[in-house]
Amino acid sequence: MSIAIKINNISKSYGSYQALNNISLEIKDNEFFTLLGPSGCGKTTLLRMIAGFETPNAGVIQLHGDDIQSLAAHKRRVNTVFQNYALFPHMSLEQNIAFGLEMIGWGKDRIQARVDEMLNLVHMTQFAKRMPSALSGGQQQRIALARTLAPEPKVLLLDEPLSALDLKLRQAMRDELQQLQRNTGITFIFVTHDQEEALAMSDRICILANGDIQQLSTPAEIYENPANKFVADFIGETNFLNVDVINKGKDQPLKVKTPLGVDLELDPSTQAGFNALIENQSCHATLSLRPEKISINSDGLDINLEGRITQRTYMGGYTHYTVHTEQGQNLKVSKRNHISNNISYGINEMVKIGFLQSSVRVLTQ
Amino acid sequence: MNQIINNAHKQNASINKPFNLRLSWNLIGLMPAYLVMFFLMIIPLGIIFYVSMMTSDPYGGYEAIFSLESYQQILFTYDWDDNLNLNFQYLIIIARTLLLASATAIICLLISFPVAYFISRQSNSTKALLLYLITLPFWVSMVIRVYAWVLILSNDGVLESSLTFLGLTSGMDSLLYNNNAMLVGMVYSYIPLMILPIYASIEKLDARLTEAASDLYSTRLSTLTKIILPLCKPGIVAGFILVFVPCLGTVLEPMLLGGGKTMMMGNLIQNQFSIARNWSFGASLAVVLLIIVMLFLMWNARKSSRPIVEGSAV
Repeated sequence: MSIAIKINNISKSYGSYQALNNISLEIKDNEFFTLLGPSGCGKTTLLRMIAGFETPNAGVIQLHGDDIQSLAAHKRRVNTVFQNYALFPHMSLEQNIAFGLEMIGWGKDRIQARVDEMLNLVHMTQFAKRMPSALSGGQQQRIALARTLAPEPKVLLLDEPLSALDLKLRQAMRDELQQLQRNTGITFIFVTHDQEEALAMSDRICILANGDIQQLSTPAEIYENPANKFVADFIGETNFLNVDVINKGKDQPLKVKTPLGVDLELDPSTQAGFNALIENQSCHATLSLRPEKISINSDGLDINLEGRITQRTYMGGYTHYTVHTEQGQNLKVSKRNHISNNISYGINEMVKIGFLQSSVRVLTQ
Repeated sequence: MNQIINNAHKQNASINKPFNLRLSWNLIGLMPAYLVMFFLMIIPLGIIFYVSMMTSDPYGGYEAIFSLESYQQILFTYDWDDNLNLNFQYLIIIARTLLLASATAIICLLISFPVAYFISRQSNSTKALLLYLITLPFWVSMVIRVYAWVLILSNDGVLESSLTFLGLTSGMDSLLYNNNAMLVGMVYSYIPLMILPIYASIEKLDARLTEAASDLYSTRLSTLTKIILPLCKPGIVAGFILVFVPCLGTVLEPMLLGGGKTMMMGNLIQNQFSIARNWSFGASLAVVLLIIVMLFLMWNARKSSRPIVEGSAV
């Protein structure tokens, strides 16, 4: 698969603030690629650099192998969907969609045909003559998409396009965006701070924080095998425990002493987040265990503990419990509410909890 | 059934009574505003209309004899044989006034737009400073500011002596007492009234719209003409009115910079009440000026009552 966007050693600072710190990454053709991170992590800066609204202090940006650094924004074959859509308020929806096509000099008939095609694509044909102010947020969103897709960009940049929508609409638009990306085959670069959105839509996710790439991988890989404590914390819920690494070495099981009163022996090949460079010395590390990997009153698990339920939060599909173990640790446990197995535990109830050693991830501190 | 109707009547009555009461209270409450309008607008304008339709008294003031002669005087003069002859003298002054006012507004617009755009792109503290500097001349008397231009443009004035000193000219014609001198003075006097509303409309403009335009392959020039200018139209129209309308009635510039040789409606009217002592004629000229302004504003109101979309995307 060919590379759509190649970013090579990009740095950007605003005064003393380092927004991006020597970032390199490659985005493949036809990929739904997400830049995810907390606000101020530099993800929008990176997107604006690809669009041409910001210039990096150092580094190279290539679009299909061509250096686009020296090109002004209006000469780059990439289009942006802005956070608040930025529809031109004095133009009808039709005119908004036609704008980019007029600018690249298409003929009248060709523009009209493409505008109709785009309106059809986003199911907005009947609104063609309306002004943007007469539309709801979701409809404006669709028109913004149609406007940016009309000139057939090679890469589509989306700057938190769903953040202004309400929850229901946001979930519906997720599916629509994904569908749109598959149908058009255009590379999508999607910026968001919402990890759920990122997990749901992306082929690959790049997690940025403090101007550095924390992890770049598929959604499942990022959730199951976080590269460090930041990623484990940022994506989903997890239990963190401070552990002592007893012995470690190449091809040897990783032994850790946990505050749960048990020692764990872990397969080092499952522990990508633990830096094997620190060898043969005992050290401290952080253990991450996802709440849904812990089960209550089940058999057939490697590690079994006892504890008392101190908190219970009913979420509909799930119930979240906090279990206080005999050793004085609080563990978050998440239990799916099955049709057949609708058991619920009350506060102060003593329960057995258990998990598999293979669910545990040890992360370098 | 009757019961219900009766009840309904009662209810109606009880609704109507407080409604009427409220109406009269509203009237009383708004009375100060009505009074201000009545005494400061209706009465003075009424006096002007009244005087314009009376006979003028050659010793000043007017005689209460109905006559439309002063309106006739704008277009016609009597020759020796008491025949009416068309007289272009005042029409030329009206035309010059309209021309100079439009020219002033257009020049102000051309200068103001880049200035306002520049200011809007500065940091907040610089913005405040620049806006303060633009309003600063208002603190100085208009007479003094216009008179400063007399010193600049006159023979041996600042401009000529500087150019002579640099060896660029020797002994040029006077720059004062012509249409150009008046134009310069008017542009100078009224330009802040253009900059401020345009600045306000540019400030309201969402910067992302210009980014979106350039993202969609629009060059700087087409972003300006297709996005920025149309969205700043309310500010441009407001600025145009604020400059054009006072220019129609301006007195100082033609007096000081036009030197009485070239008149505009403002000082023509003023002359009728002071030097020429022809109150009725002055009043009728004022009525004509008022009608011109009203026609212009009505034309503008009709144009802008079509749907215009303001400012930024939501």
